[in-house]
Amino acid sequence: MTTQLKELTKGLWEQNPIFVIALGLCPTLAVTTSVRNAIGMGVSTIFVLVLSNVLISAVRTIVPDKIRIPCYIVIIAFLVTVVDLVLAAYFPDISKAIGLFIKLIVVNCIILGRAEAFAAKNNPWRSMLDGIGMGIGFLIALLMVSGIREVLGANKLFGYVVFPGWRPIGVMVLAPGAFLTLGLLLGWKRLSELKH
Amino acid sequence: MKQMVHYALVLLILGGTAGVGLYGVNNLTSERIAEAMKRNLTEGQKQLFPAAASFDGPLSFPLSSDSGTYYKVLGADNTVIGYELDGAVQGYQSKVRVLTGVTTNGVITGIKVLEQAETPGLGAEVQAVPSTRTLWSALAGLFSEAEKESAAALLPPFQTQFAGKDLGGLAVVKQKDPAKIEAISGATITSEAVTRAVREPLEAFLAWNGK
Amino acid sequence: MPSLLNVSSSPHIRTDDSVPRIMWTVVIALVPTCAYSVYLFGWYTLALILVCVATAVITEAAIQWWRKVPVTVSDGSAVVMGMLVACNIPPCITWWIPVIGTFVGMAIAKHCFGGLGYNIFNPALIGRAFILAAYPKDMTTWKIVGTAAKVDATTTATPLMMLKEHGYPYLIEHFGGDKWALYKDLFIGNVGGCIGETSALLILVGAGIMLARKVITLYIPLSYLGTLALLTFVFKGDPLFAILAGGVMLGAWFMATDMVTSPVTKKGQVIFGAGCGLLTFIIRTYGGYPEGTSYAILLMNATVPLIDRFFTNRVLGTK
Repeated sequence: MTTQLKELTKGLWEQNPIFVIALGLCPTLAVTTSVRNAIGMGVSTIFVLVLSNVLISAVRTIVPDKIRIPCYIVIIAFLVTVVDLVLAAYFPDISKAIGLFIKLIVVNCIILGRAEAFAAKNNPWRSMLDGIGMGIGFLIALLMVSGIREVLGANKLFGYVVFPGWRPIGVMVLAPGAFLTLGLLLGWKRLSELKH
Repeated sequence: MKQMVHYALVLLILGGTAGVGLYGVNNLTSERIAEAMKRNLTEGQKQLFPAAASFDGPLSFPLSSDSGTYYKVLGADNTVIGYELDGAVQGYQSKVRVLTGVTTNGVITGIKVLEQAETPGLGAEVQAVPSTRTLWSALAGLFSEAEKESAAALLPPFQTQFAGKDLGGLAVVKQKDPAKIEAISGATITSEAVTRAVREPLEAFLAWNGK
Repeated sequence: MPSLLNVSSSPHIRTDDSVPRIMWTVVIALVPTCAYSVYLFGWYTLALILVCVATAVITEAAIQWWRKVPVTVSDGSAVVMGMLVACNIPPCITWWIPVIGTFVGMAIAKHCFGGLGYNIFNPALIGRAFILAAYPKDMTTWKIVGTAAKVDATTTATPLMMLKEHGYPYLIEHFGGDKWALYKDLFIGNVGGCIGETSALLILVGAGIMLARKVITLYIPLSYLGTLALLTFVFKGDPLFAILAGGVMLGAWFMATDMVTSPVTKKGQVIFGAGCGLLTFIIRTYGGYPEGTSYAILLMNATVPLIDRFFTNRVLGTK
């Protein structure tokens, strides 16, 4: 039981996909202009990650080793297309804002990384726990980056003004702000580890 | 050889299953996606001519080498009270699609940006509505009913600049000038693109319609 | 026991050089140009300079206290950094914008890299680059002074902005149709611009102080200004205007010469200065900004480790 719990919780912080494994940095930089976008991206990624982990783990004994990567990609691409269509149909606003990056989940290193490193070697149940944990860890990282960027760069949170009358540091919602925020958070995480 | 067949078979089955699955999902969602896109357009059409009874279109008119799309705006007694033009221009990093409402004498009633995926914080500000609603009042609003309705649907200030202008006023300037279009600071290219997406179809349409 | 009788291991070179001596010399060298700006733009400018210095000192002290390392604000490097940020902002800017810039420069460009001596980029210029990206309108709105005051209303363009937007003939006409009048205004400092960049004369006075105290050498400033003038001349511009206008004087003497972010050897310093001149010319001529000094120096800062690697001094006894 404790090991199963560990599969779930390790991705949240201790082995956070962004701050520790440093995978999937591209979407982290690109979609974190607002918390709303970050939630849309995070939830979509959790959905794809959990299902891809389960499916890949389920077929891991059938798929020959030599063609495993194309097989994984087919499964991941299928799931991403489903998410893309469902978002376009039911959440057109989010789809408009981050639609381009949803398609790019296919090549998000976290998904293929977890498939290779975990799902291909473990049973579906454990793979699901791993997917949930890693997915939520990704969401946590996105929320931290986007929260900082939206407040500093647009003076808003969830689209609402935070400090009335203050003129925000516009550059924080642009690309340099993304690199700066992510870099500082990574550094802070490393620093907190060094102190232990 | 046998191994190759095995590999091909596995991939075929996997790909086939995924294809069938996607066919199903697409069937379930395609109608809603088309609807969502259409709703965006019809909302824009209504917004530019609140007095309109119905819209006739899409119709086409000659626009440079290609053809442009427009709608006839019909009043209550089925007379034409204006036109709406659907124009698209390449912006800074995406296609900027704009719907322009124009009266029969060539005065713009308003514009609505239908599609754009410009840089958040710069180009995307063409669609920004200044929100006076703060996080604190929104949090307070969770507990009181009166707060909730105060967030009225405002129009983006960049787009409201176009209302009341005609072809002569469609030039982008960097300083405040009520007779022209004031660019969004730091996003001249997007401001220019929106203005072109209004001006170019309008110019061609007026020339064609005036004949 | 007199210190001369100390028995110590090598090196035995005796010099008065120390961080405080260098830094306080730079502070003194910056005083003339800053004082002139206060005279030119008013007391608000003095307040801005003090705010920048205070932010720099407080930020450095706070970070060092938090990191539990010795607090070194008395060595003057934070004061220099604050003054240099102030020299790089328009004189009428809202006061909290340079506070953000100074904080970012000090915290991120200097202390995230390990503090004095470890930073790759000039902290003051990073601060300026950050607020220029964040508040472009504020950072390019200038208070009118001098000849331009007769024409415009409350704000004005700098000579470089006029050159970029209207061309050289317009610029000359703006200054009375005589290019020597333009040179004189630029040299004395009778034009709009950042706090520290208006008067070339007073920057040279500051540079003279630093040279006399051997805080800087001539290699970087001369190769910087020389390259810029030469390129401008070759491409049919006005070389004297190019080196007098904008922040290039301030940049060449005070920013590019920063010991931490410039090469060690003479050869390297000449290359470094020439690179700054080339980049400044390219940004001014082909870029979107009228002025490119700060970006040119920042870009060349990034190349310093490479320059240091390729242009080393010959080691005694080797070829």
